[in-house]
Amino acid sequence: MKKVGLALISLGLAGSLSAQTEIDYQLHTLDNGLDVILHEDHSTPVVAVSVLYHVGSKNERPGRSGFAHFFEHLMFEGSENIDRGQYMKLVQSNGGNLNANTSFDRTFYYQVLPSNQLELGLWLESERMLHARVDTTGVETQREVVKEEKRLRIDNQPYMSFQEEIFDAAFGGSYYGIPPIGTFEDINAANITDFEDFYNTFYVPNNATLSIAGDIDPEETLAKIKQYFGKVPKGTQEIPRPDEKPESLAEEKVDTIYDNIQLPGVFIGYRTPAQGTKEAYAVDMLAKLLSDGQSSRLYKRIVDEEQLAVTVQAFPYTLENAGLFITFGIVNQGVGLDSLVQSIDAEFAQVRDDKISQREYTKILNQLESDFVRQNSRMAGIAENLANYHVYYGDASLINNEIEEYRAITPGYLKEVAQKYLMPENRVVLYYLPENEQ
Amino acid sequence: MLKRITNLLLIITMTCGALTAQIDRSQPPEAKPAKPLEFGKYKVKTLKNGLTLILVEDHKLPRTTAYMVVDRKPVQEGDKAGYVSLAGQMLRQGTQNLPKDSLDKTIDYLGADLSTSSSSAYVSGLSKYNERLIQLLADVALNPAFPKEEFDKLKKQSLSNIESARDNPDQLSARLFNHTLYGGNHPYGELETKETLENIELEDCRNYYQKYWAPNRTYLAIIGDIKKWKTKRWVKKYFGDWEEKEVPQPQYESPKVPSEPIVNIINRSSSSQTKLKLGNTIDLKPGEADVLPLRLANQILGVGSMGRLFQNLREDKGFTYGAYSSYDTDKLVGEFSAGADVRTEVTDSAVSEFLAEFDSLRTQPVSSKELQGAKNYIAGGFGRSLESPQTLARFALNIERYDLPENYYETYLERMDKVTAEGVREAAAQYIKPEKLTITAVGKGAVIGEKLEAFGTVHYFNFEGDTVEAPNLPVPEGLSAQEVIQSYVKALGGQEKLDAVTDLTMHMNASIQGLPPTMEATSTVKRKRPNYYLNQVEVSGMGTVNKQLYDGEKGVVSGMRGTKTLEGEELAELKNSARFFIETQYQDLNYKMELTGAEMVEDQKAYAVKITAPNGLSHTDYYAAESGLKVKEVSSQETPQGNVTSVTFYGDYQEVGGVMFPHEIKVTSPQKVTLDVKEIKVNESLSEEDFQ
Repeated sequence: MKKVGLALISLGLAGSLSAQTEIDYQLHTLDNGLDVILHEDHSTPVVAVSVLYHVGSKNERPGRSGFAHFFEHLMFEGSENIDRGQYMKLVQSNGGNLNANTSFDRTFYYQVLPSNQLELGLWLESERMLHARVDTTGVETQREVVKEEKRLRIDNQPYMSFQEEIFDAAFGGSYYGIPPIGTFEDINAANITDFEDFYNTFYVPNNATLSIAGDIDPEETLAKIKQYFGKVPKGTQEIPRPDEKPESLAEEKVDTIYDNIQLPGVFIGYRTPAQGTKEAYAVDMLAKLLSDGQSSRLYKRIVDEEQLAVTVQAFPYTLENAGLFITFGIVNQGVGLDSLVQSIDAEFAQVRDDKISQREYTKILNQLESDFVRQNSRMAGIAENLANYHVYYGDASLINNEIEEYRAITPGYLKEVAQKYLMPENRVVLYYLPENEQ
Repeated sequence: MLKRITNLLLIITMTCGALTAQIDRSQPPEAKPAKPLEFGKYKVKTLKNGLTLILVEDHKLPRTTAYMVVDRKPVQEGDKAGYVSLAGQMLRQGTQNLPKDSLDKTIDYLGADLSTSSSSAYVSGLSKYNERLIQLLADVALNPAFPKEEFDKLKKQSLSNIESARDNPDQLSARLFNHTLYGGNHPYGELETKETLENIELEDCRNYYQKYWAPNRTYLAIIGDIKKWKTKRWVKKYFGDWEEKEVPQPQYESPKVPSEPIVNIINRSSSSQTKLKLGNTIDLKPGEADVLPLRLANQILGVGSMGRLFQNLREDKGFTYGAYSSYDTDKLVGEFSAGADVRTEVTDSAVSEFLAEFDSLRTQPVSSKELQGAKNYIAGGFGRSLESPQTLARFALNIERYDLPENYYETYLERMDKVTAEGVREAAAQYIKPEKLTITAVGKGAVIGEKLEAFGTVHYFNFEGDTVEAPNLPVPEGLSAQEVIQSYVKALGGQEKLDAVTDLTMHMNASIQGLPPTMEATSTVKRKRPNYYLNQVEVSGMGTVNKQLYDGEKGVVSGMRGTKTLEGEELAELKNSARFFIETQYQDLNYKMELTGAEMVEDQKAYAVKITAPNGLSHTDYYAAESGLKVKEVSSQETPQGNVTSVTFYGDYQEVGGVMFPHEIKVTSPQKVTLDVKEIKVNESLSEEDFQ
């Protein structure tokens, strides 16, 4: 035992950081407002071409939930020069892969291509931005596909309705009240006029960031980008940017949901600050303290020592204008939900009441550093991170030094933030019970 | 001077040209010449104890990964299924040097990840901790403590996990597919259950580890920000004392292959989608020549959004969010499979599409464009995979483990390029076996079961892998057969309206399976109270081919083979057919009625009512839950040819004289006959003469 202790101490001392490889990048803005980020790396002949549109489900109008995501599906349908069904084929049959995702705050498209096909990527993304083409056949097919996606990911999965339930409880009535997948009713209601409006409002260069990373020559690439994107007209409409903060919770909200499950579970969501704030960085660290790794507090106590749950996890869901710190646990067979919730609450109380030890603090920073290194291991990840930091944090250089934001947070500040946000009156609690207990 | 100016102008025009050059948007741009892929270097070394070490140096990120793979044959676990996997988890529960709590703290403190399975262990973290990472991996792999306390916890958790798996469609599907494809007595088809988990003792786990974990069966790969010489030294230091030993080499019989397609279903009544999987076993080992053509065939069929399955089932039909296929090469027995999560209503259509795609790939050569696209896709993926230094280690490991040629991966794309469309077709025809498919479905059994009968014999399974009865839809509590019949009478128009019908004439067109389309068949049915009955079938050019007549006393059947006066049971049957709305008389006639359940009939939920006559003959009627109308009738009869089941569907109800009559009657068994009602007349004052 003693030997182990020594080993740990020496590690603590060795904790000074070795230099991390810097990620160099260039940032340009075209005349039409398109932001361009370029990162050059020749280690593998691949290039990631991505476009981030600053639009998500937050921008949907009432009665059209799920629209931003539905729209994303249609952006693979083709353009004036690309026939229906050819968009994905053009990428894949030329050795690339592609995908997209839609969240509350953004829609992100990416392709990873052999680097000799860079121009193909530019052509495809500029076609999408310039004159994407959507017809009723596409709308109707993708409507079914999107509904299947909802069934697959949410309706047909045990516990997964929690997404709808928890965002409704925590943000109901605001633009964060319905998850990006939307409701069947609203998906059914979307029509082709909606698509045209949405396209003209949000899919404009002044609402987009083109981020490219990989085996490129930046100068040549920029010239090509100007050729492909320079003529895309700037949007003429004002881009709605909902920025009023969702109302805070007046008091704790508790609800019970009966689902097709065998083991009861609990989902707890604390309302927390928006991403990029110092407080949000502190919330990230609290989540690591509580639930990253088997020595984390929730895991150690609840899964390991008290054996109350098969799993317990906390993750900070930070958004552009707000955050939700979600903790969930699923009980072991024969364990009551009450005892699980009590133990979770006790750990949250401790985070509020006691300053964390230096050892735990160092551990969290080491874990963050490790995550940080990992997320930049591929070109696609680098392109995405650069775009994200640029658009939502206003500073792409965070890709190299975000870790400093965490290092600036002290154990005392963590406690303060816990006391401010991880409070019962600031949360929603959802109990999940098996249907047959109803 | 002039020359200089001209040059300058030239430069200016050229620069402008570059900025404003018109690009041709109508076509995809030409690719530049492809860059050759560069393979990094790796090093393989075997230690004295037989451990094979693979080293890949890559300094791009300050990060290192080390993992070990124990190459052992699959283990049959029998009534303790689950112990091998539990043994793998036990390796992470503390070592003789570090109890679990300290181990957890150490790993997290380093910001590292460490995980174990029954045949592998993995660690990754920042390269500043390289020696510590290797030391931890060795400690976990060589000195596991197998603490009883942690074993009990894991066992308890496994029991909870197996409980929650009961509702998880992904897990249900994987269990059902493996169990029914490989069989319960094959290591790939064994299922963990509550019982088998409860049977596991700590000693089982320890024994497994001691028997199978040996340096001479182990590959250790270390990748990332390392120095080779230093790393080798650490490996010798921490793994060098591990002693070589002989490990068991169990043999297994090949799984039984079904002689015709089979359909296996787990009923999950809450499902909004059916999780479909179709597949067969294949005999194909890693590195064999057929792997490349099969990979291309599978690529074209079901990889990514370019795959035919995706294009057909998602982009064309909108049945699913994604449909894919895959194959596995394996030293013991490999597998081909395809699947999708489709919405319940289109389950059978989706299976048809899968089969059509299989068939097309097996019988028609793919186009050269499609083949080239598939090759490019694979080559692109190959190139992208080299972004990660782990890929190189994986290549090295496969070369060692499967005894592949040294340059297997360097020549991979070159060899793939030589595969022809005919080669792809042949591989598809050999390894995709529609006639021996195992089709599994997890979904609303009562809805999909009947529809899937078209594809093979249907069996239902439970979570444990045992066969069970076909599921029923729920029947509202307290509902009785009498009430179902009453709703039926009400739906027809009510007792009063039925009583008001004194006679009735129906003219129908009949389409009879096997009858040449040039010949038209018609049927006329006449009824008159109390029990006159005439049913006459005529075929153009042949006259009356069948006639049944009951005049209140005697029954006569005549046809092409002559005329027969009925007696006994046959007469009683015909007499019953002659009754007006017999359902309203069941009670008076002392028929027994029993509500046996509910199931889907075509697209609607229907209650099944078993009707037994006093003479013991019985049939089952199905009444739609929503409309109350009769939608189906099934009866069985013993005949000299054996038991013959007759199935009749009733649809397109329309009102005539205040009463609802079905205007489409489909007999699907024993012979397919569809009766299309052309006209119904009621109370036409039919006389006894009409029943001659």
